Amino acid sequence: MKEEEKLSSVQVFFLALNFFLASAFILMPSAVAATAGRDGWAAILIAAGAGILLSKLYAALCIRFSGRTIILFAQDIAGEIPGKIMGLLFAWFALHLGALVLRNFGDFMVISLMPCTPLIVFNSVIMLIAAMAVYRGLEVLCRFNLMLMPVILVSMAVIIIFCFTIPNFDAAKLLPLFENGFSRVLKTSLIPMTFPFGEGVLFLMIFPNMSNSGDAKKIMAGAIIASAMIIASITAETVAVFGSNAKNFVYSTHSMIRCIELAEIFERTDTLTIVIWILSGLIKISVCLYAFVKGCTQLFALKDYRPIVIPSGIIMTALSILVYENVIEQTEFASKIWPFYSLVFELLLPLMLITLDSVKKVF
Amino acid sequence: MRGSDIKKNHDKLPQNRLKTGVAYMESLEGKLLDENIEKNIKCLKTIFEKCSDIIFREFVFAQNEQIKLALIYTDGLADKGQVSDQIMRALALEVPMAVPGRVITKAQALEFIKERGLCIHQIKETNKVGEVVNAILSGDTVLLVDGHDTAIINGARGWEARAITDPEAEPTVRGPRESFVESLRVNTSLLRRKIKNPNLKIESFQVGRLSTTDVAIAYLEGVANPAIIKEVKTRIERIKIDAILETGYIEELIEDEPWSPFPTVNHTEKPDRVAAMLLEGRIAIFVDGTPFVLTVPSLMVEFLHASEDYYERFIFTSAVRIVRYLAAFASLVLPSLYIAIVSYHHELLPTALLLSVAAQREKVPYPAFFEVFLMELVFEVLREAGIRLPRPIGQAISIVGALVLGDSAVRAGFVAEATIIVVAFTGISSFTFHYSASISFRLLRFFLMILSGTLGIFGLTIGISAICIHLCGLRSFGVPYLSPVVPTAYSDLKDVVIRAPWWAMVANPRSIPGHNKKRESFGMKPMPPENGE
Repeated sequence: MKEEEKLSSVQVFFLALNFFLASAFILMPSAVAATAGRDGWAAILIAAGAGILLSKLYAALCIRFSGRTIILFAQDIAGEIPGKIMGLLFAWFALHLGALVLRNFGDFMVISLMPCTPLIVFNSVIMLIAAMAVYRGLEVLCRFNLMLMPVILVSMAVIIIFCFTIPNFDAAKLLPLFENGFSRVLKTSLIPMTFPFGEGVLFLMIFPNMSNSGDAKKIMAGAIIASAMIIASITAETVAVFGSNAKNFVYSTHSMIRCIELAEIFERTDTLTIVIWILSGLIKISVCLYAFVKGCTQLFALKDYRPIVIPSGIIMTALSILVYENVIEQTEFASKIWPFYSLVFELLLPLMLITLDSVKKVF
Repeated sequence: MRGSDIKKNHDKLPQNRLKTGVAYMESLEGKLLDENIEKNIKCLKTIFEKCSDIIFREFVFAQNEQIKLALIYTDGLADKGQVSDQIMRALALEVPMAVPGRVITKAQALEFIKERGLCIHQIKETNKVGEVVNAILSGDTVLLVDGHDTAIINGARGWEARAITDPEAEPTVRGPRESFVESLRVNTSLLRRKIKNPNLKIESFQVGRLSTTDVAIAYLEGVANPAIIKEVKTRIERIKIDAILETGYIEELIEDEPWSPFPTVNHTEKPDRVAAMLLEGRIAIFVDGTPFVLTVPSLMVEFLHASEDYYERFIFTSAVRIVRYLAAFASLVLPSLYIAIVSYHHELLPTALLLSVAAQREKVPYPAFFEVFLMELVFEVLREAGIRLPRPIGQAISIVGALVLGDSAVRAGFVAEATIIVVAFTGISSFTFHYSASISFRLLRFFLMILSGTLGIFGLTIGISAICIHLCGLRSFGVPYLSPVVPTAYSDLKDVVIRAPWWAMVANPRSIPGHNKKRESFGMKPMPPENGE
């Protein structure tokens, strides 16, 4: 009975929306500002277009093999051994992504909240809660997410609106558009395309649980558009506030929120925004953990995924401590290596599967 | 007496007394009455050996003095007036007046007594000893007739009961003032008076191997979901326990999630609330001997609603409900938020307030966590004392509590003024909603305080997330505990944080799976007369 958890389209939409917003809301402005300068917002919008194409690919796979996850249909298409290898790669991607998000999280907490607390404290506590959510099942995770969504969306809206009141805010700083050429923006858009939009590939593990999996395309496209609007506007705002300095902040969203001063009550509220980020990051980590755990369960034909939730959580936490030495390395990795590395899983793997399948159908 | 002596003496007891009470009652099963009244009386007297409250009254039938009769009843449970006037007086004196001259033989006696002798509205016959014993213990009066192996059970119960009074645990300003009492039949009659419909079914069970407590479930047929009714019955029938003294026993034995701090079974002492619950498709569980009635399945939001919400006008109610939700939230997180801000995130306070709090805290020797924890503990002690203390010394406690502990603690420099304000407000807030939910909120408050004392606002957020995840997974009789919020039933949201006016609540709540989809007709909104008269 536990296996037949059915999710409504609304639940999956908000899960995807939160998944895309989670770390991007706080990391993206600086990430795109590094190469695209003040045109970062445009890069994000372009990436959203590419993301929609990617999600069309995922949805096509999902509809073609309705009711089966990528782990299972990879074996159908490519044969058992190559299919299992692909499944293993996919599970690794989920694990790695989860570890990276967890690490981003922990770093953010240490840097902006409690500099003297060791990283492992934050990482393990967050993982504990994520494991708890995954253990309770996908349906509970979706409900939990639905509960958080109003809080997260309202807070983000408030942040975006209140940022206009920052004394330094000057929309003219966004001009001139495309000063360094459009190709630079195009190149930069690879970053937001692979993170966060391409990461939606993990939803291939969730689509089979939808009661109406035909909606997958609409849902993903909607979530990408909505999240892209939010991320692009916050990116534009960081430029409007900090100008060309925006790229010098590690967490420019957070630094910008610190500048808000309103009516002597709403000042120095950056700590409160950490709450939002904890909540939405929690969901993203849970989705990664779920994808990994579910993937392993199907890969090794286990009966139930629950027994391996805690061990997987421990592995993910350990990996999150090991992946980087420091934040600088993380920033380097995120902008130089991640876009190409992740494309293997986000584009190559699904594309290969769908091509193979089409070819098989022809012959 | 040493232990071995006790055991030795115990061994000497007659075999049937050695068995536990349960087995003893079971041993009566299948045992039948004899035709000889002497034997029957002897048998019952052995059973009720050393029960000083069981009365055996032997007399003869007025028509034919050869026929011996015996009345057996429990002193205090049977209505003495009825027993002496309607049974004894009738049989021992008045029967000859009704049928002068006619002689009744032993063989005719039972029929005749049933038809003409007894002036009791409810009688029953049995030939089983077990049933006779049960009847006597439940307050019925048993009549044995010589020469017949059948006993007549007279429903002449009447015992001292508490009068129906104002609800003490759930007081209201507007709405019915009656509350349930300890007697099951009075309670079901209060409910029947609210819903005069044959579809209101009240099914009885007996639970408790020693106590044989009467338990009844009430539901509206055609409204409540049959699957849930069946589930409730199965869960009650599987209870094998010596005694049920309060609905709390049943609550703990039928819960979905016994380890959860949240109550998944609601209870109330107000008949109008039970009626409202049944009308929405829920099922009520009555237990004899307690004024508290359980209702299942229950949702989280129920605990934040009061029955008065539906009687007061909707605009006011909605406003009050928002306040209540805020208070509930405050009662859960306010102390932990205070700890987190004061010890880790001072910058969140506006400058003027920050300076004031800092000045207060300067003279306090303890960390904020310890200080708040201590004061919360003091508050819990005061609250507990307030319930347990004998009424006349209540005054003394409130003076000690309010003045000595509150005021002097600040003057002595043990705690900051801000802490007292926070703790007091939290304490008051926790009384704005249902008591059993507020217990779980209070418990979780300490858990959150520990988290925010160690990890600041991060710990607080994590703690709240853990609670939310737990709540999302909870179910009460198969119904998700957090519905209609998540999973979202949009049409039910008009009765969660706000309450829509009655004319707009056409549909019954969909989160409780029932069959009655509509509770009123459309177009109930009051309109001005059309032709403007």
